[in-house]
Amino acid sequence: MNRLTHRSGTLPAGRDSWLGIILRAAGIVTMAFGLLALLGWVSGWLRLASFGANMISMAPSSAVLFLLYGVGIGLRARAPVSRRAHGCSVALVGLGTLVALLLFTLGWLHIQWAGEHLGLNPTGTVAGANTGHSSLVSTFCFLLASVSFLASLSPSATRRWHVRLALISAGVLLATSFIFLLAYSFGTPLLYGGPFIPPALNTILAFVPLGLALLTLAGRAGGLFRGLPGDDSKPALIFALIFLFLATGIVAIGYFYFRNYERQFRAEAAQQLAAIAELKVNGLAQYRKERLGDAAILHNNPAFTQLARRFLAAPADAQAQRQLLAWLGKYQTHFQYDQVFLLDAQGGVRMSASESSVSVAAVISARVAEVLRTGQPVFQDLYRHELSQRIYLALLVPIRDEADGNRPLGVLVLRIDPVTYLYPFISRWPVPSATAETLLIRREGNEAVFLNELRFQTNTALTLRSSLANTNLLAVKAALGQEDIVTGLDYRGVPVLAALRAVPDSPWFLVARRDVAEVYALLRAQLWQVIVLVGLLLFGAGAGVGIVWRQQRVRFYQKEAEAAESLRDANQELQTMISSITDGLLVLDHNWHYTYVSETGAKMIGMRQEELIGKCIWDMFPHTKTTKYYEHYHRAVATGQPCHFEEYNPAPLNLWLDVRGYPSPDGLTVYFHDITARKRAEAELAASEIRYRGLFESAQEGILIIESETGMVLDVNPFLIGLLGFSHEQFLGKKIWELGFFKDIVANQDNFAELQRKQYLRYEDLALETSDGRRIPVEFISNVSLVNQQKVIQCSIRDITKHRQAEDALRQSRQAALNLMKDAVAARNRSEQMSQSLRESEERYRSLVETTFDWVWEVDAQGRYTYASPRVWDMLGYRPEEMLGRTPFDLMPEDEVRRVQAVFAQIAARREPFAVLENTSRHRDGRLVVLETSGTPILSPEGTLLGYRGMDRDITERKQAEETLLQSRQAALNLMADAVEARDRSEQMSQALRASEEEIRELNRSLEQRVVERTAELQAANLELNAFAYAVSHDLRQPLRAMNGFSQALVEDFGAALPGAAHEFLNHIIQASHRMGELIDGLLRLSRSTRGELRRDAVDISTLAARLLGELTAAEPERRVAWTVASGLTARGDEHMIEVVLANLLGNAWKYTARQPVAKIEVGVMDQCCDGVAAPAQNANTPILHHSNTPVFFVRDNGAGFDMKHAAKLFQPFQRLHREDEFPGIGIGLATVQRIVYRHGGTIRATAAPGQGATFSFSLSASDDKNKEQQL
Amino acid sequence: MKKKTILLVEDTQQDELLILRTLNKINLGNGLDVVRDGQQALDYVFREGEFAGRAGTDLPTVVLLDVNLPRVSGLEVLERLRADPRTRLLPIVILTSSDEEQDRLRSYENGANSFVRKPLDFAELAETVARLGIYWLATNESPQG
Repeated sequence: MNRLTHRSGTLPAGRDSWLGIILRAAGIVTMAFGLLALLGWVSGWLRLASFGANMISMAPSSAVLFLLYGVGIGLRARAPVSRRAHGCSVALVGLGTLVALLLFTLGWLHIQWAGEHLGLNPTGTVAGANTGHSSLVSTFCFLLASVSFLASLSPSATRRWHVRLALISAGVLLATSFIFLLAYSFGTPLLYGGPFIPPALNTILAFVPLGLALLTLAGRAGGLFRGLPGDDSKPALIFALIFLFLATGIVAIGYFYFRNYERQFRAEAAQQLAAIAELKVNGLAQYRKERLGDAAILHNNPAFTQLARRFLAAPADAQAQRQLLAWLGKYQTHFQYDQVFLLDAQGGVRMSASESSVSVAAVISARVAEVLRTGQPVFQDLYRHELSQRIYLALLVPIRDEADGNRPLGVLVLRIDPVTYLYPFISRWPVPSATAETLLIRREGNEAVFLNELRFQTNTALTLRSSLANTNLLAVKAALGQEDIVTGLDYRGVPVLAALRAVPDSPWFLVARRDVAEVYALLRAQLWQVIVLVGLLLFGAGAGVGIVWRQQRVRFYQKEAEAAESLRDANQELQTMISSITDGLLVLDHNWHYTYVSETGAKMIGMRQEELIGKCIWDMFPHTKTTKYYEHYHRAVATGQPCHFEEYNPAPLNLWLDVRGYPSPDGLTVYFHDITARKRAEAELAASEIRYRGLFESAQEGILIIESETGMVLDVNPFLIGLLGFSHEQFLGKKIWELGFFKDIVANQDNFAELQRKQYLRYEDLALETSDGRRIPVEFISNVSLVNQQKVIQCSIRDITKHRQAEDALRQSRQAALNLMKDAVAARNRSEQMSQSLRESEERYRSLVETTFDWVWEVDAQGRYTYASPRVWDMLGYRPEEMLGRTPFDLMPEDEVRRVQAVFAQIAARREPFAVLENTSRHRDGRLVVLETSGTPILSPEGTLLGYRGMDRDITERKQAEETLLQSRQAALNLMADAVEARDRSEQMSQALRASEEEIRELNRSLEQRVVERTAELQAANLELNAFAYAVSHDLRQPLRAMNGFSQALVEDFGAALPGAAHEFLNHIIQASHRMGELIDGLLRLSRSTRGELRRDAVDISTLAARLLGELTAAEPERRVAWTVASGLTARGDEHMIEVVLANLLGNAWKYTARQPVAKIEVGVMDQCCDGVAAPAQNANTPILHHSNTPVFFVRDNGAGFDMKHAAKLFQPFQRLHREDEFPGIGIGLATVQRIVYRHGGTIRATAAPGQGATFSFSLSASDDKNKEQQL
Repeated sequence: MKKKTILLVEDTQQDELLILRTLNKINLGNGLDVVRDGQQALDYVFREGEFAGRAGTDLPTVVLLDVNLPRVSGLEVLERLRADPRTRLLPIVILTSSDEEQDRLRSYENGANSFVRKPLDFAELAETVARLGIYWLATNESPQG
């Protein structure tokens, strides 16, 4: 039964242990980082908390958080976490979460809370950030850790999204720490110097094991590590190692690449800076040299000296003054000095190149004596003028009279404004840069003085000073004479990279500097690239390894799924097998509780499976305690031996069961099956056997039964024993040929073979030897019959000494007896074999009388039943015992009794067998049953009729079927009669139909005749009309022409002689003739419109209308008519006629709009669905008739219109609604139009109002409606 | 130069007079011969019957043929003239009051050179005839000529 339960999905202990190890280790490492930092803080040895100088240190709060999380992780290391550990870890991490949340909020709001220091009171700043406060990044990471930790808690891990959330949070945490770690390892830690506190290196390091542990927890919760067999943890470990190896390689390569790049980059940056510094220094040196050169021109210049002397000696010497001024002026303008002026030896200003007065700075005045003494031109370094507060540089050129023993005459001052050239030169930077600049420094005593204006600070020149003690300041370094590429802090305190140089032959030192941030911005960008690349590679490697691992797992799962499936299949098969076997099956445990009951079993017991399972058998069926069950089951369980027994189960089951119990370690498995039927059969067989045995024993002839194959005697009846005098034992077990007394019959085996071969043998007169040596004549009959696939020879041996005379009469009786014997023997044989095996018994039952389809009976001489087989129950509703004593006639209806008795009396009188005698009996429930009875007489040895034996067969259904058949045959006959009748009727009808058809045909014929006649008449009329029109067109016009022509001729030829009235009259004649001509033409057109063939072309109404309107426009170009024709109007019809229609309608529109200042004519098609909107007003009196799909065209104008009450006249010939003098016309056009439209099967109508224009709408039926055309 | 004649086949005197008057006005009137019906027209052209001995040997330059003619209709005349090899190419202008399509079609089918409807208005008539006369007598080279 174990096979039926599913395998539980518990985690094998092996792997769990290594997961636990990983978790525990990760927790401890995390804790260690925290502890170390705390130790550092407490001991004051901050290296433990920061892992390096100038590095930010882990905040005490972070350290405590690491402790909390580390312990929390460690507590969850063991796979089935104990309730206590679970609660503890959740509490720890929950606390941690609250703290992290608080710190995060504070950090976000830039509040630096002293409580965070835990009383350790750390001070100082690193990289611009106060130490001892946790970074926003760290607190965020802690929050991520909390989310991951809580999401992976086992109760919620059954939900997929929890696991996913846990994995993602842990992943983000790891990725974040990885990025910061890389930045640290590349020497450019992130967030340093920014507004946010950067996370410490050890913080980041501590997050790595924490993240890994969380990932492991999430993975375990999500079952990612499940599925691999316990001892198969190696592959996972190998995958982890492969990934670790790959990751190490990738990071190392990235690191070395970046380091190399950084070195090169730094070198390049330094080189660039040095080059720029060099450039500047050279430029400055050159500048100074040039200025000294300027001075040298005047220095020791005899001409100048003489001029100066002359001037100084006699300031009134105008010539000298002018010449000297020219010199000075030339210098000032040419060499772009700010001021050039001459001082006398006492320092007084004697002359200035500019007009304005010159005030000499004290520094200059102070140096006059010194300059005159040395006699060399010198620079007065940058100084601030007391009055103007401006900064100047000056060259002092001594003027000495060489001729007069170097008598000091005065000093020429060349003052330079540094703003014009020097400062711009200094501040110029050859490449674009946001932070680069050059500083000029001079040393004054113990101070370094900034000489120029700075980029990031104003008013610095000569005012900003630094003490030389401040040696990490670049300016100080430079002022101290250091010449190098250095990194240090500039005047702003910002780290910069600088080149320091001294400007030769000057007190100047130069600092070319650039912010480190800017210099390394590119480097930082490169760093990010490297980090991203490394990240991608790591991700790729991880994904690759993950995919391979996953595939392996998938393969494993598939295998497992297949295994599970096959197991399921096997179980299914087993179940099917169990439920399909007819045996009941139940399983009891040691406490006699049902653990399994098969469906068949439950059914047999009469309960449902679920009613039994789990119940104690002895409680369920207390009465069984006194039965074999109790005894056998207990013995089987006690001995471990299977038990087998048959037991009857009383009401309500009334069952005989064959029970086999097999003890097993789990209890007892019991197979059982219903043997009630067998038991009943056995019982009945026993009864039958007793009966036949009686016959066998009491038969008045010898019966010998021999096994056909072997010739072995199977049985012998007492009569034969008595007859021959041998004992029963002498017969049994012998071969027949061994029996001496049969030697006349079967002396040897060969003889026996004949007996075997022949189905039937009869010896009428044979002698058998008795035990006392007598020979008695016997009649021997042997029959071979098949009993249970075994040939058996039955021998009937009759002593014929006494009965020879009655031989013939007895023959039949004997035969019957023999048959009886045969049955009996067969029955006995069966019964003997029956007890041997179950299978054979089933076969045997089938052959039993009771199971035959027929009812077997015996009656005595009076016709009373002496035996009835159980089938009578089915057939007639009586039990066999109820039948005994009754006669067949008791069950028959009265008239049947009479009929059958008459028949049967004859049969019985002749003692004949009879067959298939049909008779009707009444079933107990009242219905009639038709039986077919066959029987053979039972005769006493004396030949008296003892009764009949026979069988009845129920043929009621067959009879009913026959009856039904008969009925249906009758019905068919009736139907046929009906059909014949119907046919007759239909023939009459078709005759009538033929007659009426004939009539119709006759009618059609006359109709056709009439049509032909009418058509001929019509054609004649048409011809006549045509002739008339033709005549009109010729003959009516000619006289008119004459009238017209001669009138005109009269006017032309004799006009001068005629009085004025005559001219007028003649004009009237001419006009009348014109009008007459038009009338004739109109009439002709009208008549023509109804004649001739109507063609059906596709007509493009739009084009036609546009052409006609174009012609009208061309004929009267002075008219202003705005006409529109809708495009795409088409119709089917006679193009010429449609042209006539349009020409008339458009001509009318043209004509009747003549008085409109702006005439409008519109041709279009009606919107058929929305009458009120697009279509012009409908007139109910003249409903327009159109098919829904026939377009209705319209011609609309805004002309004179007409009154609708005259509308009826509109289409009549010669009817006009306007006077001739209003609008000329003859009134034939619309009549023509209407006829053409009607001929096309269409309709036309007009709507108008006086002065409001008119709309003519018409349709042209698309169908070729010949009838309509004919009507018109 | 041969004398050019116009044969007018016209049964109504009024039309004849009007046409003649018009042709006279353009100095073509003296070449006009008039016959009154179709039979006369055929006789005239073929010099038969009453015209067997008519003066002049030539065919008319152009025949102005009315359709509605007594005895032999104008279209029949046209048919016969076109059927005869001698007059097969004789220029024939159908001049008629009718503008019946069937007349027009038959005329052209039978080889009329022109189909002119006599305008009702005198002035128009005069213009039309004048144009015809000038065209056929003055400008067009007849097949014989």
